[in-house]
Amino acid sequence: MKRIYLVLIIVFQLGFGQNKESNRIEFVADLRLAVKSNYFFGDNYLAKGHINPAMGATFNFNFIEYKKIRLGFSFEKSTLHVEDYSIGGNIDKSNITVYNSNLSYQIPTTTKLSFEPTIFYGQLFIKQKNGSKNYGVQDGNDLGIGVCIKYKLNKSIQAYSDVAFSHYFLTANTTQEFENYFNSSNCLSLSLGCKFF
Amino acid sequence: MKKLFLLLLVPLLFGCDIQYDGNTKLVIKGSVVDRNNNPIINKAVNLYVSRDGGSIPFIFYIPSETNYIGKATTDSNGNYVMVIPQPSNFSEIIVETNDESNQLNGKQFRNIYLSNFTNFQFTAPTSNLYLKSNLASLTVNLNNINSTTELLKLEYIGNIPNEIELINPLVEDYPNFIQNINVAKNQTVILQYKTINHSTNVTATNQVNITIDNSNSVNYTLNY
Repeated sequence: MKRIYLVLIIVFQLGFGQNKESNRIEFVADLRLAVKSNYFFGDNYLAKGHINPAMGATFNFNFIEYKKIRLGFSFEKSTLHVEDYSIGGNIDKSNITVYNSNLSYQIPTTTKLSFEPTIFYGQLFIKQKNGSKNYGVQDGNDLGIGVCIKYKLNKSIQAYSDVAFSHYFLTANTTQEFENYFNSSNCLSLSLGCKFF
Repeated sequence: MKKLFLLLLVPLLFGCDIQYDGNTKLVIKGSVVDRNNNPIINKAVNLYVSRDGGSIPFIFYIPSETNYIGKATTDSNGNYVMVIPQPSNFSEIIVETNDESNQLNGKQFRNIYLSNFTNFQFTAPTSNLYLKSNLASLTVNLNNINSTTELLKLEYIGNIPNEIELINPLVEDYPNFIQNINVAKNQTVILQYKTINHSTNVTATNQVNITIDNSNSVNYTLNY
């Protein structure tokens, strides 16, 4: 285990030293934390059966860069409160957990401001709860695009805002009448947070 | 040894809860009407998933569990639709129509199992709700006048609210005679009963008419 830590430290140290654009694959340590608001829309359960928007938090870590393209992963948690109890169940809330891998392209505009278009794909889980009772987990995948605007505050911290659109592909075994209502959703999200390193 | 016992106990305890499959959504449909088949609008319909209690002697007791998982209100045609996640490890699903104003009788459909769903959908029979003021309490007193005759079955035919309707019959070792039920006033209820004569081993099905007038309670003695 110690060896793994040592290797990671060396890799990140080498990564911080690579400021110039190069054709080599570089290791970076791009850590981001943000609060996130998800607005679901369309004719589906997350949009119509819940009170929108959902509020949550996201953690993102980019670790590989090649020609200004960064690869990373993110973890996100948000909560939606149920509004329609008849279609979906007498459930209090839906907790959404999303694990994404993402590719982003760095576009610096000024010394302080930069843009970053992103595509992401991942897996998601919607856990339905009423109090402490668990009423099942619906799973699926998401695919989306977004753009991140970063503003450099000092050497190690940047403030950023991220706007993204994603489509949810959900598993739903039900009648034909309700299949489309439960098997997909659309999400428009806004994040505000800080990028470290 | 204690640790082993606890390790064995933990999965048993966690496996006792009613579980739900969030990926599978069950659809329950039905309608609520009055005595004259007019739709009753804006009526609350609730759905419960219930599991009976049980025990493993000398190890632990499993308490019963009831989850209030579905609720809907009837539309302008008296129809309702509910969608719930699919439960497992349960005893029965109950669909209940109750009247908060206490003017109408309640109605429950009980003993609904997953086998009653076709392509994820179950259509409940129509709930007929009666004004309580239009109901009389009918009590049937059983009087065994022939010691060789045994009563096997009692059945009521007529305008009867049937406040509890079983979608699947109970599995019982002994007959359970309902001797007190609510029936609509001003009608004739047919009481159908089945007997067996143990000396001749002959079974017989008979019917008697019981006149229900405008009174609130009616008593009838069945001699068999």
